[in-house]
Amino acid sequence: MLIGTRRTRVIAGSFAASTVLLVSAAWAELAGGDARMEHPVREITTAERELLQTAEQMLVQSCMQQQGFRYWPVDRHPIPEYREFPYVVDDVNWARTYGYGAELERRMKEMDASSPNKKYVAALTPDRRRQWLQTYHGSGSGWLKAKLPRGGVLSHSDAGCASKAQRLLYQDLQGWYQARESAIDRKGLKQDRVVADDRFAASTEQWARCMRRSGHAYTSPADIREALEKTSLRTEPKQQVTLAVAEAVCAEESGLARTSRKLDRHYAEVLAGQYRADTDLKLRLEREALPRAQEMVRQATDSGLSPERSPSSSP
Amino acid sequence: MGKFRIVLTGAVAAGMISVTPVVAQADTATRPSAVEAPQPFSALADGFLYASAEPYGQGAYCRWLNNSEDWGVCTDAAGNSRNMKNEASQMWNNGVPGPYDDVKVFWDTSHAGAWRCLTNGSHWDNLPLGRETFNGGGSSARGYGQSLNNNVASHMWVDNC
Repeated sequence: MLIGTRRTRVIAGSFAASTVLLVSAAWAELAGGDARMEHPVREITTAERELLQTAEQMLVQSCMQQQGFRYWPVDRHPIPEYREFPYVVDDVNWARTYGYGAELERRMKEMDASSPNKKYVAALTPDRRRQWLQTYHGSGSGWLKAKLPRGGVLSHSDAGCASKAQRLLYQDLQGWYQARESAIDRKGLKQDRVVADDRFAASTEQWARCMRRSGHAYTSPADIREALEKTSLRTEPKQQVTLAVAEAVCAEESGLARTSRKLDRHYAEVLAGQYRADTDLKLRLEREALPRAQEMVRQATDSGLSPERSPSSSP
Repeated sequence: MGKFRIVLTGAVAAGMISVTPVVAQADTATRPSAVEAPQPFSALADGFLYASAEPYGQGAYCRWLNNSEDWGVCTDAAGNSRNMKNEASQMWNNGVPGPYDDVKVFWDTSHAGAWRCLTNGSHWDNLPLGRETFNGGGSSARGYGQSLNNNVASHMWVDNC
């Protein structure tokens, strides 16, 4: 769920120090490879992805400031513990601590409501608000297009600060939009394939038997999700933890966790091959962007600038 | 996705529920008298999800800053009351970047049935072509595989697609 998507968080405090660490980590991991290789063979690492995100957000902020607006960089992981389990909860410790994550979700919504960009935009006059969004998203000029694996064509302006930042970072803006949106759609397609696989169904039956032995009569993890949303279980955090722990224990005991992980990897490879052009393009653009991102962050770090301290215009 | 999307997303999640509105604010923006294709709502750009009755932002439209459980009752920028349930042929996510800036549109009201996710800043311009279908919520979800055109009944802001 993380690749090609954006989890956003306000970058707070010690920006320079954190970027130095990110840069160091990214380049240590790159030491054994050629960053400009024509056919990259692996996904970039988490540290490298964070580096790209940091650089992109710096570019967006700079662009917005040049247009007379304030903008607060956002990050991809506002709450590190906020995880997604697309098939079944398979982490007993996590389940014991967070149940089904209702509290984490509540915190996410609080962060959203208090996000500086939203508060800032909401406080602008209607005209300035429209200008802020137009400056960020763009309007007019050319249109990016993304043809998606599961069908459909997405469009996006190429004229806003978001696009300008991505053009500077990835160079091939149209290619990046296509590759990124395709990856997002491919992830959903992969999950569809996993749950449609007979091996997933067989493991789910084993899981359900395990759950019944634990006193929980659910036929699938999806059944639990439905109950969480439609029954009194929704407002019973202690019961949620009990149930989540049982789900995770049975995921391991029944083999559903192992089957899910195996099928997830399998279909990721299958679809990467099926959509090779988009897959390779994304990997290549990301890898080629890493030196640029490193240099941007290095310059910002050397100059002592951070997003929090950079001069910004007033509303 | 529903409140518990954190732990089970995508194809295997079954139902949806309502969530807390993203930002509560008034907006007095007015819509220009004419919008030329292919620049959907180009002069609006104010943090809303937009849906119009015709492709490329043409015709009657509605916009939402928060979640909506029923597109049957909605308004445009001038405050005109509209019914966009099963009427929309173009959609544009013009949300403010932040924790919840992508949007899922649903086959049924109350965030039920199959869904499709629209990333921040992106739009589907010409839904009557039938290229875009509901592809989330699992193949057993109501509306799965059906065209988005004239079939969206509710929406919800989410943290990512």
